[in-house]
Amino acid sequence: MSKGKFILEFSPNLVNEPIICVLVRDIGVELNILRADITEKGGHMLLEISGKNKEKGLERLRSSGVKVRELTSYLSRDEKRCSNCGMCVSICPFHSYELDPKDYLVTFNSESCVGCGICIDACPTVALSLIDGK
Amino acid sequence: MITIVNQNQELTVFVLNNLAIIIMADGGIHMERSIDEINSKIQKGDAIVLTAEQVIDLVREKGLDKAVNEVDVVTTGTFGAMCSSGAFLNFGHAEPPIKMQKVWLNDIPAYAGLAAVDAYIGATEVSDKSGDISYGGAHVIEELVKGRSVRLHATAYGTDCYPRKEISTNISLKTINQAYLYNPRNMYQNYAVATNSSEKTLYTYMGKLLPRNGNATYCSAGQLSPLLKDPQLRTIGIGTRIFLGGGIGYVSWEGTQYKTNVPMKNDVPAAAARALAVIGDLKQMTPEYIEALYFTKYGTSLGVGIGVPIPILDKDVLKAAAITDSEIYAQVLDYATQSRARKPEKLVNYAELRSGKIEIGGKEVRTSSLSSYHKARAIANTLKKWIEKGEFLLTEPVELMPKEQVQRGLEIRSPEEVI
Repeated sequence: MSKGKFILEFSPNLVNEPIICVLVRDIGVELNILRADITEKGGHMLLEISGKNKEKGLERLRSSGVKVRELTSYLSRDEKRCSNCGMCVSICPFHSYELDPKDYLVTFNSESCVGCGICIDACPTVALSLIDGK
Repeated sequence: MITIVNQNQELTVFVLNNLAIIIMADGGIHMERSIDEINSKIQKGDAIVLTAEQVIDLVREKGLDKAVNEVDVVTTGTFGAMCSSGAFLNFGHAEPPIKMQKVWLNDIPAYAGLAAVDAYIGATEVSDKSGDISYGGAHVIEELVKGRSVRLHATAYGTDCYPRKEISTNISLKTINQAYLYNPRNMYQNYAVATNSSEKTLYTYMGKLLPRNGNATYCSAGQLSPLLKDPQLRTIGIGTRIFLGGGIGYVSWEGTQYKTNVPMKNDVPAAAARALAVIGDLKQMTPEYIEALYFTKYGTSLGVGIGVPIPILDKDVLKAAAITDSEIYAQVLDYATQSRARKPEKLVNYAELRSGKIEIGGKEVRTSSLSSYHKARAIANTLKKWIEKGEFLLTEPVELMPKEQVQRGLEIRSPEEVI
């Protein structure tokens, strides 16, 4: 079953539409809202979408006027700044960072990262940033 | 070759492979090396140097009695936030000259109450105008080490000998006279493990602490950490030559808040105890080991890399230098308690901390290090190479540090109460 993460851009005229509700109720899309920031001026949402109706759901979103963009990676790490301390390791709820017990370098697994951003302000060397900047 | 250097009724002293062997009247054997002897081996390229991790394996494999013959120097290392850091700078005299009263470097205030063109830029100093606490003195120091230009602005009241009242210019390490790091408190001998039992996220100098004991952070390099490997400071004192920020530095004094009255476990402090003041030429330092840090909502700090060599003078020094993470303990403190007197929740050892999780109140809590063990190891290895190549000789302390010292708190007192 394919799974994907998508950034949805909502224009102001769409914020009163029950778009996500329709996606789940009428199309049967399995989704997880990872981030949402929507006001009367529009906004964006980060969705993880899975299940057999994924493509149908994406088509529906686009036809509703929502701009949809797939994300393959959310996080950028400045390797020059990162000191490999490991502060991020215990912060990440999805265990995306690990400290390698042999060389004590911090490894990052972009597969499990959902782009929640909780690690960003935890990094003492300010080496982490979200790729879409939101 | 064996040379008998002293023999009397109480003892016999002879020298074997640069090791003084003392046979006591009761048959006990005591072996000692001097720093001079170790240095002559270093100069000949014969010294055996191991890192603080490697010596653990040696002692485990051969035992103390044999291992003491097989190592001359143990190198240690640590890289972490050392908030009590800063640099003295001498800018040179302007034409016409100025006696700088207030100084800003990239808009960060530096202390200038030192003659005319000397200033001290502290790592945790932040802007007095913008309200931005994410850029501070540590960043100015980092810019200098990186060879970048820094904006200097200074004001003065003007005197007959220093008529100028203002100057704005740019400086770099190339243009200024002296630039030396002088850090009043570095290399803490052990430190707390921080956690947070409250309902909200706390932003501290121990990093981001998640609510309901969601994580725990620690900062000591444990078995690589300099002062944990010579816990009584038998070999480290004033004048000890060290690796500092990628260059060579020296121990200059006891660190501020140096104290010895802390709980001990396995002959090492199980809480923050001794610390050292260090000094070194900023012009020798590298961005790899001097790095500006920002702890969200706390402010800036300086990541400093330090390595200290420990001369293996005898079996006791070796025993202390071979202590392992599983034997070094630290107190878990709840940073939700906003007090200087936090009661320790429990003791945990560094092997547990490094495993990635500890147990607090029946709950598994994930751990994070704030200091880079990777860099600590790189420092111990670099120092080892310097010594092996004969580029770095060991030093006899000019003075040893206090054997006992208590740290005082700050109370609200009347003038009469303080005398």
